[in-house]
Amino acid sequence: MAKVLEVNNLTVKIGEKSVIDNASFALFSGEVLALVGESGSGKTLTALSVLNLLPEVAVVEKGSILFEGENIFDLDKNQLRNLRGNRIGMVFQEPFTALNPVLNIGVQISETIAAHLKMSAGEINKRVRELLDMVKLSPEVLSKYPHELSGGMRQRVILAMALSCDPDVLILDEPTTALDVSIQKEVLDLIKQIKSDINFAILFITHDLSIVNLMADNVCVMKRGVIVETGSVENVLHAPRHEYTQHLIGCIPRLGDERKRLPA
Amino acid sequence: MNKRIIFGTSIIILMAVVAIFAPKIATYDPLEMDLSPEARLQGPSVEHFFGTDNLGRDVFSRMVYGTRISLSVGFIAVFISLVIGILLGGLSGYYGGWVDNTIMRLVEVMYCFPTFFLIMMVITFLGPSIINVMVVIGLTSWAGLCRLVRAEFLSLRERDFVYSAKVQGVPDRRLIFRHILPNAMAPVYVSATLSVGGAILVESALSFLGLGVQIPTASWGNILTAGKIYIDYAWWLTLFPGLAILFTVLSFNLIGEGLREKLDPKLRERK
Repeated sequence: MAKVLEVNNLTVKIGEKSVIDNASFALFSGEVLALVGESGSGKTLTALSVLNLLPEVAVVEKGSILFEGENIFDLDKNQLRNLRGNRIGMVFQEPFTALNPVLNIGVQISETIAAHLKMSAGEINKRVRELLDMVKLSPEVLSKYPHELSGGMRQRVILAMALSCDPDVLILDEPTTALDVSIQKEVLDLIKQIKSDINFAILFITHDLSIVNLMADNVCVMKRGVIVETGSVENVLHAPRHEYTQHLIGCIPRLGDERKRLPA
Repeated sequence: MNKRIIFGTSIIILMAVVAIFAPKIATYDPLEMDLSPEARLQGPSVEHFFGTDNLGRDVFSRMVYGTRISLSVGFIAVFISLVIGILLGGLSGYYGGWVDNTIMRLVEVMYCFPTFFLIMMVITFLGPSIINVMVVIGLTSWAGLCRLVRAEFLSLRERDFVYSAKVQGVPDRRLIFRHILPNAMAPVYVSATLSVGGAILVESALSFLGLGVQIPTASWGNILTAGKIYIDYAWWLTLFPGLAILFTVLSFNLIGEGLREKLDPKLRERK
């Protein structure tokens, strides 16, 4: 299997504080890699640095991120724009704020396609309908506005946008955290099914170990910007070596179990 | 519906109809003079609704044509300032950094000038004409709008949906004009409506001082000027154009206030 994404010794600082400290991991084509950790552990910042979209206060101190062999920190503005949405798709945590309230769904899905692929209006329209079919939404939503859709529907729209140009890597930043449990399952099943139809690699950011168990092949555990443990889901979840991972797993409430506290 | 908006819009629509159909509504030729002593300075009557002026011209017809001038100056001047204000404010708020610094220093310079005297000076150099008045008012009134748009952009560019569009690789131009700008328009509408009233006032003042619309073309401002010498015994020459200016500007302000109330959730009454 080929490496599509490789993060090497990445260190990102906000002021004096390292928010990502010497992180290294690799994503292979077709793999689902989960990035797990508590809030503020640097998961989302890692994802944003993959797209070179870190907020201005965060400075990349050292390290590189190679996408198909090319360091994304060396790309110019146009190359970056072509990378985002086209080669790497991303789904955000909060479906309620990730869509523009004043544009209808059709416009928002087709603009990603129009930004990257040279297609006529008719071809774009056809592609949009294909995508809706893929995320199991009816074409009626095209003329609707975000406030008319439920959270699950919006997340599917965002998923359709992220998949619109057949990306090699899909970054899912806690895609189901804002949804309730039954909708979570629906969206996760949908992602799994689409993944089995089209092959792409997923960087799955979450703090929910049951989702990791359900979705991922491999796991990186992050704590305060440091990757403390990496390995396959079986190894990490069933035989965790690092104390922090053990604590994380110990935090999962079980019936008849007395709860342990995670020393933060 | 808001009462202020209804009242304001009705007056403006009435004014717009008068302006568009001026030749049909005017009862006399606005430029036709009648210098016979009995025709000059007649008070309001059935033949001359608003009386006649010192040259025997029908004031009502002159005012009907003046409506065209006032409304077009108001709208075109504000349109020019909208284009400049939105463009510069958008660039400033979206890009930040040195772009923002340069534009904001320029805005501060604009704020430092006493605008009305600047306009008077420029008109003195360029020569008074309706086009010059529109352009100069437009070019000097964009600073406030620019700040307003910049402030909206500053807060909107950090919103998730803008990030999300950026992540999809949407180009900057589209981000600015399709994603951020429509979300920033609410306060712009309010401010633009209020500025239309302001621009009409400035035009009237310039015409009153003889720097705006030139005689014999009629504008509310220069009818007022012509009337000021006769104010002791021909009150209709100053009263009617004054009322027209008052009501038009008042209507625009009422619409602006009404819109502000509608669009600003903080001011909206609880239902």
